[in-house]
Amino acid sequence: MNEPQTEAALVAARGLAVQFEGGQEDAVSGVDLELGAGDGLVLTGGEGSGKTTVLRALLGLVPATGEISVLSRPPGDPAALRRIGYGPQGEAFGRRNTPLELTRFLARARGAPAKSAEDGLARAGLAREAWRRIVATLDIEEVRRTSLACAITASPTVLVLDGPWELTETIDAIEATRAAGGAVLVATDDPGDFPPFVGPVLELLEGAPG
Amino acid sequence: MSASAPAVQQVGVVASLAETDLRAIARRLWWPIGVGLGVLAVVGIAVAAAGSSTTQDDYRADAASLILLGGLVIALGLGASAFYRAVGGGRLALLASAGPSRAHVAYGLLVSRVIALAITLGVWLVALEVGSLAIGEGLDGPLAVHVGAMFVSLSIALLAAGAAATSVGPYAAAIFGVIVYVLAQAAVNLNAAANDEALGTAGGLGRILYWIFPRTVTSPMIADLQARDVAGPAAPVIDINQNVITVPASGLGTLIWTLAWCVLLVLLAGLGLRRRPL
Repeated sequence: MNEPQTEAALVAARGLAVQFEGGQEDAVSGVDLELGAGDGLVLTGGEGSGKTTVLRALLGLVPATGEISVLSRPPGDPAALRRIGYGPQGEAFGRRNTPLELTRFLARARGAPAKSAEDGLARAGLAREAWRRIVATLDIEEVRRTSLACAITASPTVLVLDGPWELTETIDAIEATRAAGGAVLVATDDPGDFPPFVGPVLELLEGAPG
Repeated sequence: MSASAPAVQQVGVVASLAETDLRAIARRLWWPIGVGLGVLAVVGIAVAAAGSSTTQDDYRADAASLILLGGLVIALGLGASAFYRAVGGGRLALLASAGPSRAHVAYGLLVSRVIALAITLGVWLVALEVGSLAIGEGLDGPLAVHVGAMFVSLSIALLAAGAAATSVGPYAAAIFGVIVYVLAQAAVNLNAAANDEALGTAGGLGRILYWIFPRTVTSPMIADLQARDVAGPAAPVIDINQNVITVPASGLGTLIWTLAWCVLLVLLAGLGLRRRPL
């Protein structure tokens, strides 16, 4: 289990499955994907289809089965995680911290200089006056920009965006990551204009590829 | 790069996580309100003691009650809330996604809460010392030592609740923290009772529990107040089989034992979070 599939693949999964917590049924099953340098993938599907669960499985945040590797390491490996940028969905991921506090921690954890925290916020297009306000007081667009900043701080090799908005800065970050030889995973209810910039679309229906 | 560099980096990440979490705690309304209510209580304690014929004893007894009851509420709140909302809102997922191990995430979140408890007791101690000066008793060294002893004791409750909170909800975790604190106090009381030969043949069991359970740290001030039956709710007289038990001030061994239990509870929290989906 969890053996790397292909040496060249930055992200690879074959038969990825995740069980509901405390249950016997699969929340996600049979997901195959492989992303090499410069590749991208849009995961789409309705609410509860398993998009976020797949991302969390790749990050090692939930236990998963199948052959899974990220940056040639098993999911959740600390060394690999330091090269992955994760932008979470929703608004509750840092309600009582400021965007600058969050990105400073992430820069530190990823082994990057402190300056990269401010660089991430600037590249996400978050207005400077919002950097020191707590996330709970930001409007929804500022929260999505904060999520993007969390992902792109320290210029990671693999970009994992959950529910991003189609902002110019989002597209710029995706293109920059792919151009630098990285890989991009985007999970969204509506692919919208993402496919031309990201790559193929994988649709999930009730936890399985549609 | 030296061999110790990764370890230093990991300590830096835990410290950074603790700092980030401490800033978030400071913005949760209940904590500063709790600290503020404690300061207000000190004013009441000082006013009541100033009008008493036994000013210093009354002041110290009421201060000890505030530190015990108020401190326990704050400690349990901090420990029991360490992980629950953070998991549900995706905050822990974000923190853990950047590379720190689950254990390091747990250590960071508990360190921040122990610091918050220290700040709470520190603010109350400053208020108590100001109150002591105001009622003409001067700076109170024994009271300061008592607050230090209670910081260690309350850390046991906080960390027990925190360790439990990696696996259960906040209310269950808080109840577990109370149970561990009560057991820690019981271990000390039973050992004192055994030493006073008040337990008869059960004395051996009392000593065994003393060498298994965590222990609360008894300050010289509270031991003196209890021995004179003027400690109030913080240290009521213990009567076992119609024998009044004297609980002596803790020595260095108990302090080290309690700190070792604190470390053990932090490690258990690290293990608990390793198994939890984020």
